Amino acid sequence: MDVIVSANEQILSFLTQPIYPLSNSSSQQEYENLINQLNSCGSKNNAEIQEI
Amino acid sequence: MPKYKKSKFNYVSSRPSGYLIYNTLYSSLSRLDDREFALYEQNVFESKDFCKELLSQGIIVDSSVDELERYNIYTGLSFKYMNGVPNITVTPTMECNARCFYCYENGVRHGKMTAESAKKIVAFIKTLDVSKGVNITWFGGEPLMNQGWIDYFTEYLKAENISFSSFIITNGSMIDDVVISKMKNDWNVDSVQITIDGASEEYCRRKNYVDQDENVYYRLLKKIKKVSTEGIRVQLRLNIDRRNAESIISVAEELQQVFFSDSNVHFYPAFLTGDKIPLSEDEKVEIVRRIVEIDKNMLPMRSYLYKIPRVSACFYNQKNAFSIDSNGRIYNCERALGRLEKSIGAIENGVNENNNVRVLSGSRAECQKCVFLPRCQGGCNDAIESAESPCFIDKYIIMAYLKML
Repeated sequence: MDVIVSANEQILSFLTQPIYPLSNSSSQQEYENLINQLNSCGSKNNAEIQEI
Repeated sequence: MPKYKKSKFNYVSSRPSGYLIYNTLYSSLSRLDDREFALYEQNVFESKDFCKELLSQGIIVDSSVDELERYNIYTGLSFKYMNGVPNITVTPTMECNARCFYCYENGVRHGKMTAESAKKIVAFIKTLDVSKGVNITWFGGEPLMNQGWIDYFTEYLKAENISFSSFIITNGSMIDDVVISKMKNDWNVDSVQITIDGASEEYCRRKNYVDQDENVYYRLLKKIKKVSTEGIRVQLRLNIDRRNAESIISVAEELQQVFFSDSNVHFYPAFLTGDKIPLSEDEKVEIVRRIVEIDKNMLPMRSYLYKIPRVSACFYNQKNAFSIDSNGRIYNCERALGRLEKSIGAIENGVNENNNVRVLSGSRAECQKCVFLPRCQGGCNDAIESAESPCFIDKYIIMAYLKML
């Protein structure tokens, strides 16, 4: 198997962990904590994409 | 029950070099050989190393995980709580100097904004949370046909201490040095979108300007260069249907030559809706593949593959995004501008929340089954209501790009 572009680890670990930390009734604070985590990873940077 | 299962978001493209698996949720791209793909197809994940690799790329996930449900919670909470900078689309005028046959504003009431309406729009904006400013999209008609009003409105925003940045959707015909200076220094424009409908002759035919000018296409390219030189980004939207596809390919080649070294200019394909004989999915992918192949500066195109999953499709899915027509009516979708039956309020009285119904476009059953859901989040709701294809270009760019690997 040849990995051309690796997975976004934050999204992967967040969405596939055995116990999901959010539900439809989660608070705004819980949601914002998550978004801050995801944004800290964000899209792949331009230099990395250019290499592909 | 098996320990692992395939991700619902694997898009597989069979290529001579192997099987490419792109995961639309985790943004991973991997290549499997024939033997590995056979194991994957048969859900045989017994080899520890192979299993570990597939897991690390999200190609397989724990069987107990419902990815779709989790993704829906993620987008649902975003819809509920996301409260960023308001996005306001403003139409200084619904009049236009072009007569594009495909314009979705054909038949709507035209008019120009007034000084009084500028004050009312600012009053409406002030009812929103503008503590971090506001994003303005100038739209029309052709917004540059009422520059005096844009001057007045932006002055008024400044006088009211509302910080703003803006984006303008224009046909570009009225751009000159004065306009560029205003964009940069007065209107806080950081990005411009211009539509190109074909190479020179085809462009003239499709725009069908009130004042005909056979050199309008080449003048436009020069104007784009000037805008870019002033540090303003230019997004060139290549509108495609069955009849202009070949002309658009030649436009892409020309743009590639003229703007290759210009990082402020990029072009992207978009499919027109409402065609009598719409392009098939395969035809769309092939046209996009030819365009993507021409674009030697692949960065913008490639970035479609590696963004974090969408939380919404467009402004329609954002509670603090509104479009205002030149008569002061408010809408929750820019494609509804001028269609009074779609209005959700007016600048005098604000939004009637009973009419302001918004749902996540991707919640439709068809989208929930689609492997591209995290890249598109349901696409264009107005297209859905018009029984047209709602899918955004992202899916075609991804499919086309994988065909090139």
